[in-house]
Amino acid sequence: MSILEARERRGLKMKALASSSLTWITIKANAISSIRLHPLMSSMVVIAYDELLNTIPLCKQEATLDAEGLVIYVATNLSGIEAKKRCVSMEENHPIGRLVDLDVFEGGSSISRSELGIAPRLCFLCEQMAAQCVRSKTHDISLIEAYSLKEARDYLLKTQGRSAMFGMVAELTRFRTYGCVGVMHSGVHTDMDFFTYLASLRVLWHQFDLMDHQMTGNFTQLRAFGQRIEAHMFEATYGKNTHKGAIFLLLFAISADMAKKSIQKRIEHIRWLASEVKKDFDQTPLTYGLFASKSYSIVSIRHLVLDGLSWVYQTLVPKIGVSEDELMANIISCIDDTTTLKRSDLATLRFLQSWAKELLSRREYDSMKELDDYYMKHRLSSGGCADIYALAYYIALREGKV
Amino acid sequence: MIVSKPAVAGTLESNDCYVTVLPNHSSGIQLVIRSIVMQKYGHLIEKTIREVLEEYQIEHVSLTLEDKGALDFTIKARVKTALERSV
Repeated sequence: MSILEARERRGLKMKALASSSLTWITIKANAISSIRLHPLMSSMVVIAYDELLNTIPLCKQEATLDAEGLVIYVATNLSGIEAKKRCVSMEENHPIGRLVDLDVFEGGSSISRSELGIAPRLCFLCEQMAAQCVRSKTHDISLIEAYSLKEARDYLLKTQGRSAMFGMVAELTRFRTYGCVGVMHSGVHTDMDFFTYLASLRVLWHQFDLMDHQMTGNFTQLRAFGQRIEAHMFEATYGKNTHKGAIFLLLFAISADMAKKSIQKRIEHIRWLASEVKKDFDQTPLTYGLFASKSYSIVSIRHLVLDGLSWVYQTLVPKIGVSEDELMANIISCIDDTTTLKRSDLATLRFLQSWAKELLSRREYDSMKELDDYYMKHRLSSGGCADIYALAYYIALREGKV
Repeated sequence: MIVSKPAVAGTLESNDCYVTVLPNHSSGIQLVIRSIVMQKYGHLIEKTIREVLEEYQIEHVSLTLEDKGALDFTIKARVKTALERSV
């Protein structure tokens, strides 16, 4: 679907939404089309959504993911003018305000800045009126692209919580989700959706920011912190497990980041920190992941952690930048995902892995669609692979690879 | 081509435009353009619209274009789509 088609389809959706008495706001990336689907830009949309929730009382929300990137729609009881004022204030004052577009619709028509007597938006690069620069093609596209990506990257790198949020957003905004919750559908899950994940993610991001150096050298403290974060997650999602696996992985990666500089040292740090995880294998009752690891002799995510996540650091992260399909083929073929196993059996898991491996060796990444369909048709989920995807994007950001 | 029924195309989002066409039986071409860059680029937007109308050999139409900073190719595509929907 082309950008214009996607936009028009969303326009029709907005019309239908706006027929209600509510004021609707659309949150999307203010970026040129070539990078609207970049996880850095999707993260900006999520940050703006988080910010709006702090300033505007919301009563409904929806989201779409298409050629125009991630778009979140929120409805409020505020008047269109009042909502627009608050949106403009965010666009003007928030550090990433320039990277997002907040359009306000009331009764089917949009409210413009001029109706509020506010000056039009200015160009990133020259401070002239943005619409004029767009029209006259004043700047080279690559310069605009680089500016947007750099601003987004710099903002996300400022704290570990933001970087972790970026990894989770990259995972959540995949086009194919292999049974997991995504923007356009909830995969095979009936008890949660995109907004359950956003609620979880908003809490986790701020919680990860509370991590300090003390925790990084002490597994007991790290585990206690992880359990606290998990409790916050369950509170935000009304008891749904959205990010438990991702929390586990990210805690190790963030600790390693805080403690060590080189990749090799980080891997060693995680190995040392995780040696305590070994005890988990002897605990009773076993969680499903541990039970599966023991009974099927598979290499679970815990094993990856015991190995310092070296596969992620050394094999997966250098691949970031390839297509989403190629990256997922790599992950599915290599990870013994206990989430998949839980909903099927070892033969099915091996079948899916060899399928992904075959597509990888033939470079038939478009055929990942059929693999994705298979997960959906057979009610399978790939939550473990999704967690690895989020982790890889977190590390890639920290390493300057996105 | 004859515009025989009302039709629309586009959106009111930033960098897009919203085009409405109506039949204008034997009353010629009537254009209404509203744009956030009207002063500087209004004449160019009009030129682009007229080029499409000429390409489609349209002599009678009432066309309104609400521009939110669309580029020429977007304006062209939106006008063409509206016209094709009006047949």
